[in-house]
Amino acid sequence: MIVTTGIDVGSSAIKVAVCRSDGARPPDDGPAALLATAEGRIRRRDPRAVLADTYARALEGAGVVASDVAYVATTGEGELVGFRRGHFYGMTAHARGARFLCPEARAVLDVGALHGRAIRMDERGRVLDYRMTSQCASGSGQFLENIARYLGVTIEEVGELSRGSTSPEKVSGICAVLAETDVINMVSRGIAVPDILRGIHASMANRYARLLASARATGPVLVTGGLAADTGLRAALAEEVERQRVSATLRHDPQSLHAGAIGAALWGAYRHARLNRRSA
Amino acid sequence: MGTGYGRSTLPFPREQIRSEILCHGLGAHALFPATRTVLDIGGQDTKAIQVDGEGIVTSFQMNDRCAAGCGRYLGYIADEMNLGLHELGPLAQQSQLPVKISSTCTVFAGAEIRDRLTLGQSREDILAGLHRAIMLRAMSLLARSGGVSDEFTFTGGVAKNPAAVAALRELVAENHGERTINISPDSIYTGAIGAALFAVRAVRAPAGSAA
Repeated sequence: MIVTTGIDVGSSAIKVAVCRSDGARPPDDGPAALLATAEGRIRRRDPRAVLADTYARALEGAGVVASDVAYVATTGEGELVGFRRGHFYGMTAHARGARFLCPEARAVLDVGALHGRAIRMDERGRVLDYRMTSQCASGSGQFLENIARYLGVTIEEVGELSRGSTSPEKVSGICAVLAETDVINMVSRGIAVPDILRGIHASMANRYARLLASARATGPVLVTGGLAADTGLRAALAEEVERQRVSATLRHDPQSLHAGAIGAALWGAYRHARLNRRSA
Repeated sequence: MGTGYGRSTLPFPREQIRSEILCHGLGAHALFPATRTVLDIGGQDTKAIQVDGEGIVTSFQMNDRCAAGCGRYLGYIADEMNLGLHELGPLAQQSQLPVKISSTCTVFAGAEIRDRLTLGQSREDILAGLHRAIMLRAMSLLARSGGVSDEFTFTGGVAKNPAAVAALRELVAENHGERTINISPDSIYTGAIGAALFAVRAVRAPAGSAA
């Protein structure tokens, strides 16, 4: 059994996972345990300082020191991590992390700060197909963060507020920046904050349900990424998936945010074990 | 006569409301009578308008669904870089080697800038690239509306930005050849002037006839 770390460098947060495993490769999952995770928000701080701090917290949480770590694997913008040993593509890292958190998952919906992606995989955890949002940040995490700021609520409050909506406002896909005006107009028309948020969530969910449909995702889908924690978005997604007749059931795990980092750590263990076998 | 983004909120009867496109065309014609093409870059939208010799709109294209290419693009970037809006143009003009911004979306451009600053690229070069990017968006809107004819009048808040104007001059010369480019210090009133002229016509024309 070896200890490995996975570092998922996103555009708004850095996620670190510390795992103990034997370096098996799916479909053989072997014994694997998640020892600790840590998240650091970048905001306007130096990403390197956020990385150092987040990594130290994760190791401390796992009760290990840097020299105990057999392999440091990255995913996302891994170039930031000078001490990495290997890098894994976002799709394979997320698929592996999702399989660890939810073994029956056959797809992943990763909703991040700038992009969303739908990844379809087989029962062995192999990536079969994926679709990504591009060109436009409408519906992204940054989009929702902007909306929350325009409404004067925190991103953590958004989910509960949205779920309290009684008559959701109809919102069509709107620009993440021009939304400021749209939101101000809604407020000045007297529309309640929960109804605005629920409308925004519904418009986001519409985009992500279409993404899932275009990746032909079916069966259990694990929602990951920073927005997986948003209960309002998850409620809207469940509704939208049904409305669009996508035959998928949404799953969520408290560690969903760290799916990419967990997947990188587990793939890192596999690569380490393979390298050791070769040199033996 | 009322016009503009908030025209529907004015307590005017319907016949005293004109679209901002029509008013911009006529207003630009009033400021510069030889105008045949108008580009208006405001905070929330960008309009490319072709007018005839009387200042009447013959075709137009408008972007009001996406902040890329509008004044708000530069406003968002200014916030991202902790700068005032009025500082952007002069800084961009000090650039030695403008970078090519690859993102279209304003939010993605903001993230791209953070990366570029982390890589050590200069604020000036990045800003010059951003000014070129906003004008490239305007050029495609102009092309879809029918091109850039002589004379060409540039209006809206972004016309006050020297780096934006310089980028526009360069791109117009590259893509359409020599054009007279008009910019009025009163350009923010273009729509209001057009509306006032429509009001004059309405008063002079017999009631019931089309303006």
